[in-house]
Amino acid sequence: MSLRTGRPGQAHAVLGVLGGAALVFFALPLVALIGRVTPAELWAQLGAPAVQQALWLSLEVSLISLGLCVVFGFPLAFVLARVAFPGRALARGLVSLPMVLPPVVGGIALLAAFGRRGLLGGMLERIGVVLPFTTAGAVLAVTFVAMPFLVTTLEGALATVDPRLEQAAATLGASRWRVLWTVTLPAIRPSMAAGLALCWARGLGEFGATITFAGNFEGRTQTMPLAVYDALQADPEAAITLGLVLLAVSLTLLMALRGHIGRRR
Amino acid sequence: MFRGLVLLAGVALSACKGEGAARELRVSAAMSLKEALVGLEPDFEARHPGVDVVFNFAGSQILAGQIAEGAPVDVFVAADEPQMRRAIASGRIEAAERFARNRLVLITPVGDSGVAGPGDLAAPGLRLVLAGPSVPAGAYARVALQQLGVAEAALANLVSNEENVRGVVGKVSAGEADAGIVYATDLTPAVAGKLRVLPLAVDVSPVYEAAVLKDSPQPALAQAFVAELRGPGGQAALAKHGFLPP
Repeated sequence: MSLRTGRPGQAHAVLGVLGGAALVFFALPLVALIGRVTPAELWAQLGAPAVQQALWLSLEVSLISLGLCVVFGFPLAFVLARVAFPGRALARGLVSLPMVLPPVVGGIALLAAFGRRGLLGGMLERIGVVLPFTTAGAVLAVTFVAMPFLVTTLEGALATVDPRLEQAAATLGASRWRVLWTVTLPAIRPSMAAGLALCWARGLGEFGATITFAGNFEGRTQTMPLAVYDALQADPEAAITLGLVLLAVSLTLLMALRGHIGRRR
Repeated sequence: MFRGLVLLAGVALSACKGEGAARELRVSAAMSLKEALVGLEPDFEARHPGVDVVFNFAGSQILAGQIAEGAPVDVFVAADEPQMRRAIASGRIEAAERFARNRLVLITPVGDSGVAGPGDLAAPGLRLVLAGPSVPAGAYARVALQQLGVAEAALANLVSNEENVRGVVGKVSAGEADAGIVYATDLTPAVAGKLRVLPLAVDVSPVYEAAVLKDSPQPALAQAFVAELRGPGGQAALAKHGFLPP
């Protein structure tokens, strides 16, 4: 509005200052964290067996969860974007809910559904499936919290694909799968990368739902965020170092993922 | 962008809130004391007009960490000695006063959990939940298991190290875990109906200590709060919630 009346140089200056302030706001705490740890300490922590265990568990849990998010989340996004059905607005709301819900509440809700005394708990126990206090439970908690990030990103992207492109491909004899594979997916590639990166990163950082639903046990459910919190109790310096390790891993993988898949050819 | 604006508005609002309000006494206290301290708050405030006691409840280890990082606190109330020593080591506390004791109990969900006594904690396949080893309640629980001679087998059954003692209560009262070790005072009315309580014949005596922060801007008021804990009013409120005298 008011930006439009000023000269473009002015607008850029205003945007630059505010945007710069936002960047400093995000970067400063992270830089401050780096200032607290020497490279030698970081290296020593990386070599510690407990840290490696938590790191590998985190990667394992978040990647399995990412797989589940793709397998189930993509179809869900497709249905929400393309299929008009009664209750679609409600379904959309439900899908977004875990993003705004405190993760601890998500954990309690998961217990209510899949816990021993939960809705499906008795049934699960009869077929020998135990989720609380197991790695599978941690995967479930992470998936619950992270999947909405993929679904909402993909749904938004799918809604913007020009249907005429898909129709044109179909009239040329392409099957539905082929249209999806050769027209729809390439068109939403950048959003796919963004959605995957967000979903995976959210999963890697998941804390509240995991500790509430799956508990906190080394090698089984103690992912990196839980290990950081654990370390904070006894040795705050170690917690900072662990936090930095998590930060470095997340940043590397985020940049790699967005850089590779996100690039349009 | 929108998120940033909301955050800014939130920061601005919370920054304005304190002005013109009552004088705040900031008390960082162990989670296990929550009900007892909230219970004695009205009395203390009535005798100190214009004072608002503001509690920050968390595990003592978290609070000690916050104090070491410079958190603005007037009184620190810890659930065990190591955490108080940690706060003293940070240089912000001179000395602490003991004001209460607690005892440990074994809890198990009502119904058939297969736990009739501490010996059953060694049963294979049992799901035991404790507070983490650096949480006071978790440290005491491990000492208790040692004394009972079931530490090795029981710890093999451990499925979660909770971040504070109420986490243990939560997991057991929800029926997710078969057993846990908590303070007798954690059996609040809200959960008492869901738990069976078994005695633990151990020589473990959790102590509670309170201290005034050296840099408190209102040391007299802070000292009055510590005195309240040791005085008849405070002791009555503590006894009501199951705490033992120092």
